[in-house]
Amino acid sequence: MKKLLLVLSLVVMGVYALSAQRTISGKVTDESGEALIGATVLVKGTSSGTVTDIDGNYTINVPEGGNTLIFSYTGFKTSEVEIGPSDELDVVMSFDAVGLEDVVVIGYGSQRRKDITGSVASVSSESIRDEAGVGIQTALRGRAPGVTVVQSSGTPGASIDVRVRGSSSITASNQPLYVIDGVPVISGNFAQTGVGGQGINALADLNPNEIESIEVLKDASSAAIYGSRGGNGVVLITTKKGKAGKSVVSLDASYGFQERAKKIELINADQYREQMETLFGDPMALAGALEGNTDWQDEIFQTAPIQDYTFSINGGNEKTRFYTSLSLLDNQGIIKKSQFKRYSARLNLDHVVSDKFTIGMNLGYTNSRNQRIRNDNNIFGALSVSILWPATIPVFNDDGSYGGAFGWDNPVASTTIYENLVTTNRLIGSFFGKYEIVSGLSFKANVGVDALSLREEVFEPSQLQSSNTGTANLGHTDNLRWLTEYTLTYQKRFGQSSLTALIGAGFQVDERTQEFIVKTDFPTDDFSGLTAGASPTTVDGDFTGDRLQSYFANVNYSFADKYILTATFRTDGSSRFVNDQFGYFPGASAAWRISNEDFMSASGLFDDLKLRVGWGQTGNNNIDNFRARQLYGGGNNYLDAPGITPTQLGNPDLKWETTTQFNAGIDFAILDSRIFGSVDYYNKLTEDLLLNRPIPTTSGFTSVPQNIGEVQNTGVELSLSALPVVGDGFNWEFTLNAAYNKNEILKLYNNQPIDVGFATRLAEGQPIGAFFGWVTDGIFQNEQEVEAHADQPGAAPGDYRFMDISGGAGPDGVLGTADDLPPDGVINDADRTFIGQGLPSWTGGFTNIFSYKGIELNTFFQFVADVDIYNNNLEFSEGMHNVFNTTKRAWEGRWQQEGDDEDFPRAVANDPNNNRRNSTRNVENGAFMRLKVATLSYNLPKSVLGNSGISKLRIYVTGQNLFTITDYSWFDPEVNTFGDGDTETAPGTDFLTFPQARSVIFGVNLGF
Amino acid sequence: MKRLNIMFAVLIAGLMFPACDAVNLDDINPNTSVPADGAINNAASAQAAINGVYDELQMTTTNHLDAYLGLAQIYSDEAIFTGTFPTRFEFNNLNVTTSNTTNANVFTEFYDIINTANNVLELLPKVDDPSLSEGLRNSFLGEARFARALSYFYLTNYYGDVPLVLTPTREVGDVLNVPNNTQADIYAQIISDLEFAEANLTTSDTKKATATAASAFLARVYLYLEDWGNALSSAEAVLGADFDLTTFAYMADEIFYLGFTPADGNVLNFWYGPSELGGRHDIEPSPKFLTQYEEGDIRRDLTVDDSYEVATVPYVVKYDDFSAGISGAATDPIMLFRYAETLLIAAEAAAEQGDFDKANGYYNQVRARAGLEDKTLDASNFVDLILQERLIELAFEGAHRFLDLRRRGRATTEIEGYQSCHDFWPIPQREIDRNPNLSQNNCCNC
Repeated sequence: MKKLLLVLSLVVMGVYALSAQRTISGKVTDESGEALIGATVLVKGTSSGTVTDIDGNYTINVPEGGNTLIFSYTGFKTSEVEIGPSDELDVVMSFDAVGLEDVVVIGYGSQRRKDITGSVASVSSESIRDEAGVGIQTALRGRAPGVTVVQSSGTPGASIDVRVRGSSSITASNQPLYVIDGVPVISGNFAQTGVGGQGINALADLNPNEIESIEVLKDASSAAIYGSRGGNGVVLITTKKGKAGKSVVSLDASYGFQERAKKIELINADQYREQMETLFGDPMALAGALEGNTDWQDEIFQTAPIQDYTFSINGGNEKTRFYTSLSLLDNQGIIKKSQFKRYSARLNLDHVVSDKFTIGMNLGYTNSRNQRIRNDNNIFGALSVSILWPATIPVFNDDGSYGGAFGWDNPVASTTIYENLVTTNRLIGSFFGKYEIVSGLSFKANVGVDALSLREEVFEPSQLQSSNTGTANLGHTDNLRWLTEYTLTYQKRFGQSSLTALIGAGFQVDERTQEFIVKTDFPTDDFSGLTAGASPTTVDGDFTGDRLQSYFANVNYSFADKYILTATFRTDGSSRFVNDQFGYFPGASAAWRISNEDFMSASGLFDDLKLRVGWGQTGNNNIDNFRARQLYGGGNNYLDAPGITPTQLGNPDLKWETTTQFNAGIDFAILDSRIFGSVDYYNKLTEDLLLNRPIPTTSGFTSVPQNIGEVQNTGVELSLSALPVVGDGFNWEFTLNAAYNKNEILKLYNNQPIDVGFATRLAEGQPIGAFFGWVTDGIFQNEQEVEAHADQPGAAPGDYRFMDISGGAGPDGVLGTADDLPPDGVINDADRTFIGQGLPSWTGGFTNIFSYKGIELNTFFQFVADVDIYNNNLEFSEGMHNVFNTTKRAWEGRWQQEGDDEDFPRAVANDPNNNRRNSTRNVENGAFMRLKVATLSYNLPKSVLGNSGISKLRIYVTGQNLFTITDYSWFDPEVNTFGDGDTETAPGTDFLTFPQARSVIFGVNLGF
Repeated sequence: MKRLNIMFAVLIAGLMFPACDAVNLDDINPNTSVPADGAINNAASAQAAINGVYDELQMTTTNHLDAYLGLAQIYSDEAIFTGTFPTRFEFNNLNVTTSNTTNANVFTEFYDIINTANNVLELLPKVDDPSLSEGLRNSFLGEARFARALSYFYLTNYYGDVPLVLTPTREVGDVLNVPNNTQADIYAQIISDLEFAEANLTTSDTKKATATAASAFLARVYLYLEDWGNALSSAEAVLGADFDLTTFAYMADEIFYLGFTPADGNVLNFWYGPSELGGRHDIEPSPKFLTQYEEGDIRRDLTVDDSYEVATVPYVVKYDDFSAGISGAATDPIMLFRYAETLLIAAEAAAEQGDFDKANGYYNQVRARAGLEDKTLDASNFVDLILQERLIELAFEGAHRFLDLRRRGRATTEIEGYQSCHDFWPIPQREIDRNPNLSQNNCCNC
């Protein structure tokens, strides 16, 4: 995209070139002598230009008066070379690590990095190419400071949580807006069959191999151009475009293996019988009587292959350019049966119709097949049961049927005969025409489409506990989004000033229909089609949608490359609101490139030094489409006669959630650009939260949407790069990204807390995601200690001692605040307090690249610090009160008699003391550092490839999640049971979640 | 060049075209809902709104279990909890915390019914439709008031003094912060609603509220209020002269029950059934309950299976639509009023008034149908015998056992660990947090 825009404008302008006086030709190479293909060559002071061909050669007509050529190429320092007497001019361009000349895509346009006034993070395709993964979101992990990415689970194709500069909303979404080639795309989970936890992820339909670059608009002055949807940041994705010159054919292939990184140590069959005896007085009680000896984790985990192939061709001439690709990803999960398969195809095309008129399209199609398994909070879940079932249960009974107990589903059955296939067909495209009305003034019309069609087919045969007679579900979702946008852009240079102004209008329509059918009673398990089922139990279908009208304007002005100003304004009207449909979003920012001032450039200290400051407002309208309306809903039937009931207490006065953000930053490069980076400070205040404010349920409703509440995020982001060694052979490149964010809920309705998830409480003065519960204080060693302690119902020696913290809420009516009443000698609900924090304060990553003559070692570490995890697994697998299987450490370390260690309480039937309650016992340190990616690659030099016809050959091996340093006791500290979006205000909770894989992948990149 | 300009104009026109109908932000509406203010406007929508009230009475599949059946059963000596949910364990253990979410859902579900009924009661009188006769309109109003009375009956029995809300919710604000009303106020409203229902209901479908059901309900209310005279007269209004229970099979003597169809079913089979029959078996008859049957009682096999032939655990068979799995297609009814209960109310009320002839007559109808010998009630034994008969006859059909033990002051002796502070479940803390005018009951002073 970057280069394309330049090329396009050059070509358009080139037509005006006057009669040539001279023809200059030559070759453009990098410092190692490799030809640079597609480098731009421009005659200074004119609009005459060309690009280099496949061998790096160019030929340019230089008009009268032209005496200097400007060579530019992404990733290299722009160089100006005076034309000498010779008509031959070869140029060696030097690598530009800082990337000041790089073109950065921003909303409705692009800028050179050196002109950016806001806070925009970029991730290039280069940096993510070897990371086998399913989604574009993983590409952002640890690579863009201030962008927190949490992969909720290891489920192939499942959701990934992305937050830009913290969480700012409580009820409306916290996910950023994703815009692909100008089309804001549909995201979310549209599967209608619940599997327990991990949903599917519409963004997994996007193929990272097709991406040229990703830009994240973090601050409000940058995101304001996306107005009502910019409040959570904007992720701009640009797909690969064609380049003029000889067609380049590429094949990228990789194949690898994934395996579980960790196993939870559980008790064996004998120990389980011991547990039964302890609890129920009989080793043969319940599942104790069964004679299996099964390691359930071994039964369901597998070493799973992952493969990824992309075949692409790009090329074109000065009038028409294309990029086309075909890809296949096949990612089997480390839990058997789970699989995500994606076929994708892309065609990007640009054509110059005339000197004034260009058209183009970017079209991507995906077919994905997601084979799901049941997981997380589900007694039929494969991993869930593998952890909570004892070893005594056999995989198969003697009669060949699946072994079972407690009415749960056998994990082996769940990973073989349970069928749940979600097939998505997705077309995302944009089509544009651009017309230059007069020089510098152009009009662009753009039509964007995102058509998503999702079909889910589930069959539960009768052998499953979850279905006695066979159950089939069929779900279908059709979501069509289209938008039309018109922009008028004016670009002018006069003297030392440069001006770009844009006005535009846009209309977006989103319409979604969903159907869902469930039938039961199938003749035998050989029948799975809907027709074969006898009893329809669900036949549902409905429609939803919204419309958005937008008008926007943007002005960039720079003077002498030193003073840069940007101002933006957008207004959006949304059908989601009733009385207050329009919101207004201004933004402004300025930058001062101090390094270009004479006094500074004279000192030579800084190669670049830029101060940036910005302010802006953005919005959030992520609520259900008709949520503002007071509705009476149908479908509430009795005895199959139609019924209606009040379903929603709307709020016609509802309006946008507004985020006001201040940003200040500094960019610098020193020591001949060997060290460079940037530091940003931000302060984000979100007001008029779209809050589903809890109301007394005596009203018949549990909540009403209101614009109430405030959330603040303040933080600092650091990006630092260094080139400690730059030499002929050996190079070392180092990059660090780190971000600190402080989140605080400033205001809720009447100070009323909101409980979400398992143990999360949203309360004033606390960050989003704070955990709330009791505080343990060791274990009662004897009866005297129980007596001496506050009255704790059900307590006996061996039980947890919970701290007597308070006698109830104080005058403010809210528990957990400073004015709580003093301890009252009774342990009850009033003794709960804030015991942890699920959102990390520190996030980041660092990359080291060592290269020597085509051999490169690239390591990427990701880190998260100052965060807790609510490990809900422990309530069950260390509860020691019932039939649930127990971890080895808890069973062997349980309290049994006076003087025992106080790591784990006694085992006792029914847990009269409720040792399992939400308490500090289940809160663990969630900090970790992991070697996320390590790649060793070898790029064969041209001299070796010779005349083989191969222009590029690179082979590599990549390891992912090779090791993790953490104190966390369960599978994986990067986890989010509530990653689906519905409960995204309860981050950092783990409950029987599918862990991430460790993988080793071999790959090759071939170019012809 | 001209050709290109025309092309360009055509392109732009083509792009502009779809934008036209997108400009209107108000022209997009749901197709499964209508605006609340005009929802009930003719006879058909009135009927649909009444169906909606019954739909609310059905509740969601877990809430109807908790609200009508399961929680009170595991709270008493009738059943034990054998499932996994910590919140239900708290009921089993008589240690219900104020933050218990299952408890909060039950509280909320009843007020959901009340708001739905209140909507009907406000909107229906305004409907101007000649096809809606006054008789039908009043019968509809009677059904709504019956449903409201039923909700308040459970609320006041579970939670004591609860807010009395008699108007539909239209807006938010302080108006929602309704304080506790006394149990006497709640009962007065229940009686007023039921008297209206008794006088105006015209349906005879036992899956809906009928005048007979209203009388049976009044009998139960007066029994709980220990207004023996009214309890007896209401019960006798139900029974009429020459009533004979033995003409009905066990469980077939329904007066009013919540019906379910495969398309609008429940999963009670799943909660009560053993894993061998696809259940999760969360609620199991208590060992004590299983010892309570007399020899030869035909009700035993129709209530529980502790033969260990099908399953390795004892289980309730009153919800035995096991073929439905967990798909929510089970059609087992939730019995709310049966003649047998009304007979036992009549027997208890007559005995309290010293009329043992009458009491024995009613009481032994129930025993005779169960295939048991007559017993003779007298002043010293009638409370024990009638409570015992109610336990067996009405087992697992509702909250009868817990409420019977409590109203007769026997909970502390029959339920292990029971104290007077357990009489009411906590008003959910979330309600107290949200409503500054609401105060907690005596739940939490154990």
